[in-house]
Amino acid sequence: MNQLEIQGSEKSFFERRITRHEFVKEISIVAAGILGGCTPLKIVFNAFPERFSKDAHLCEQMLRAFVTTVIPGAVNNDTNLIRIFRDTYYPFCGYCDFFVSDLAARSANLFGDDQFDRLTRQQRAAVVRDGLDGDATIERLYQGAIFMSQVSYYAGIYDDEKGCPLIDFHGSNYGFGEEEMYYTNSSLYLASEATSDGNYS
Amino acid sequence: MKTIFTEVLVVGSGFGAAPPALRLRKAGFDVLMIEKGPDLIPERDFRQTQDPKYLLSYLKGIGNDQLGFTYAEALGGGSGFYEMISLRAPSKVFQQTDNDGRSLWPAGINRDVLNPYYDIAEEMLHVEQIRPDEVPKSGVVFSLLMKNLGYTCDRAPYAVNGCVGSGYCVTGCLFGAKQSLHLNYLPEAKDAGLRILTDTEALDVTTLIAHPASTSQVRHVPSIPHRYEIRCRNTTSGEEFLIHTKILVLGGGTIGTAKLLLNSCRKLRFLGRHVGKNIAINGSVKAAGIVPEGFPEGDMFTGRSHPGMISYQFFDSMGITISSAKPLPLNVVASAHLTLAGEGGHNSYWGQDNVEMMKMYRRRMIVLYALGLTPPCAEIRRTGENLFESQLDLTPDLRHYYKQTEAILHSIFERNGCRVLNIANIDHEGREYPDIHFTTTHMIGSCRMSDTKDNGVVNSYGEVFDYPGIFVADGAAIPSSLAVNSSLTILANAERIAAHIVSTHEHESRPRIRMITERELN
Repeated sequence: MNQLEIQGSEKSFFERRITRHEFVKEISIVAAGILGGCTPLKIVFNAFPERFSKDAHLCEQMLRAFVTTVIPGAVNNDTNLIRIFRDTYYPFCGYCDFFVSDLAARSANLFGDDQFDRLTRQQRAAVVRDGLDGDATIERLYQGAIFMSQVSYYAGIYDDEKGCPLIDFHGSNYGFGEEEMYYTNSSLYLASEATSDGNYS
Repeated sequence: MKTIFTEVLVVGSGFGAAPPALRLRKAGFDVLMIEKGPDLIPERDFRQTQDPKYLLSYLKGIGNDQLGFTYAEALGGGSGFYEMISLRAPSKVFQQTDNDGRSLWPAGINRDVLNPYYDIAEEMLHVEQIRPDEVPKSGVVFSLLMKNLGYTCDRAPYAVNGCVGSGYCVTGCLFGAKQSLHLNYLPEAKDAGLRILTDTEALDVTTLIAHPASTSQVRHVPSIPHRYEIRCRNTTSGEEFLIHTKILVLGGGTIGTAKLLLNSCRKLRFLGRHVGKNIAINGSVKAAGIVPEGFPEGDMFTGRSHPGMISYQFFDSMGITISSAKPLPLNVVASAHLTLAGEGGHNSYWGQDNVEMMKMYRRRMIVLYALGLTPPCAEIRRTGENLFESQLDLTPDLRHYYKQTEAILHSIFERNGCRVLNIANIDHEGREYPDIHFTTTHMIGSCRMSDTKDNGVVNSYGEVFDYPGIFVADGAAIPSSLAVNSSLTILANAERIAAHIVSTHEHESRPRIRMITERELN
C-alpha cells in the first residue's frame, strides 16, 4: 500500500507542468523533508486522495472510529473526542488528513472497505496494528495518533470539569470530604517508622 | 541601550533565588530580581487542568533518549508546581566521594551545618510532618505494602497549610494551601522593597572592570564598584537592556544557571571547565503495580498530590529511599506505556487491554519511585547561540543501579501479591525510548560547590572561583544526589549562602540615604 502511494505521488509530481522556479522550490522542500527525516514525499505533496482533505464529515467519522478503537468505551459522540487532531497547537494537525487517508487505504487493503469507521472493532484494531507495523514514518504517525488520543481522553484536556468518567477521574473540584481522602483507621495499616519526624539522620 | 543599576541582582525567583533576595533586601541592600518566566499570581493564574498548553507555558524540558530534565520558568520557579514534600538530606549524603575518593561536598558542609538553615526554611514554608489520619489512601496502601514485609515507612514532612485535597497540587494550588514561594518569601521580600522584573531573560554576563578579583577584599558595599554587566532581554517585547550590579546571585536553577554561565564562558574566561558538568540526577527509578483483590484501595485522584510516605528501609544498605506517587492521568499517559502481562505475553498499551488497566488506575494501582545516591553523571552543553543539549553517561554502574533498584521495587509488589506493570518510557510523540531512560525534576550540581577550582565552579559559600561577588545559590551548587526531594536542601543552602553574603558585607541602609539625598535636593 505504501508503494502504491509513493507511485501516485511521483505521477502527480511529474505530470504537472511547473516552472523551473517552482521545480527548484519543490525539490528543495522535498530535500528538506527527506533530510529532516520527518515528512515523507507523499505528505509534502498532499499526495493522497483529495476527498480526505475536503470531506470534513468523512474525516471526522474515521477519526472518531480511530479513537474508540484505541480507547474502547470512549463515547463516540463526545464533543471533544477528536478535537486534539485539529488543534493547531500540535504538529499532528498538519498530518491529520494524510493519516485519515492512510487509515482508509489500510482498511481497503485488509478488508476491502476503505471506510475505516464501517469496520468491526476487531477489524479496526487490525488496521491500527498494521499501521504500527508500517515503515518508520507511518509507525511514527500511528504512535502519535494513539498518544494524542490517550492524552486528550484520559486527561480530559478540553473539559477541565468533566475529567474522564471512563476511569473515574473527576476533573477540577473544590476538594473532598475526609472519608473520601483518608482511612479512619489508617494507623492499623501504617508500618513502623525509622525516624521521629520523617527526616532520616 | 538602557542600563539599570543595582547593588544586587538576583537571577531567578525559585528556591535558590528567593532566600538571598529576601535576606539581602532586609539587610538594606538594593536588590533587583529578574525572572525569565511570566509573573504568576496563584489565585489568578493557577488552573486545575491537565491541558498541555497551560502546563507547557510554565514547565520546560531538556533531554535525549537516556535522560529527561523538567524545570519551571515562572515567578516562584518550581515552587508553584512541586509536590510539597520537604525533606532534609540524610547525613550520609554529605559523605559521598567521587571515583578518586575525593569528597563531593566541600569540607565543613554537612547535615549539622545545614540544620539551622533547614529550620529557617521549614518555618518559612510551615513544614510539618503529616498526621497519621491525614495520610492519603495511596500512602496508606504503600505503607501497608512495606509493613507486610517487615519494613519501616515514615510519614513525610509537608509544606502545606489548610489542604482541601483537590489533588491538583502539581498544576498549582488554587486554595493558598500549598506553600509555594508566592505565599512567603516573595511577598515578604516585596514588602521589604524588592523589585522584580518578570519576562526577563539574562542572556550573558561580562565584567565591567579589568580585574574583578582585585575587588575581593572590598566588603563595604557602597565602595564596591559596579563590576558585572548582565545583558537581558524582555521575552515578550524582545527588547534588550543591561543591568550593572555589584553582587550577582544566580538562582535560575540547575539548568538555567548552567545555561547563563555557558553563554558567558567567552566573557568570563576564568570560569573553568566544570560549568554545565557533574549534574547529579538523584537516581529516580519508577515502578507500578496493581494491588490484589481484598487489599485496601488507594486513590490516585483525591487528596494531596504526594501520598505522604517515605521509606528509608534501603537507605543504609542500597543508598535509596522509596516513596509512592499519585500522578494525574496526563502524567501517566504522556510519559510511559504501561502494560500488564497477559496471557501469551504483554498486553497492549492501547485498546481494550489498556482501558481495563486504566479502569484500575484510580483505586488499585500503586506507583513507587526510588531516589538514590547516583554519582554526578550528566551534563548540559552549549551547541550554539542559546542552544543546548543534555548528555548522560550511562555507565555499567548506573545501568546496574537502575536494574537493581527496579528489582527491589518489583520485589515489594510481588511479595505482596501485586501484579507488576511493565513501564516503557515514551517521548513527546509517544515513541518508546530504546533503552533505560531517567527522568527527574531533581537535577542538581551543574555548577557545583567544591574546595578547589579543579573540582568545581563555586566555593563552599557559592561564590564563583576568581569572580568575587558572583554567587550560585540554587540547585546548580549542590554537588551530589540527595536521595530525597531536593527543594528543602536547595532552600536551606540558599539561606546559608545569603547569611554568608550579609555577614561578610558591610552595608548602610540604602533607603535611608536616598531619603536624605532627596530632601537635600529639594
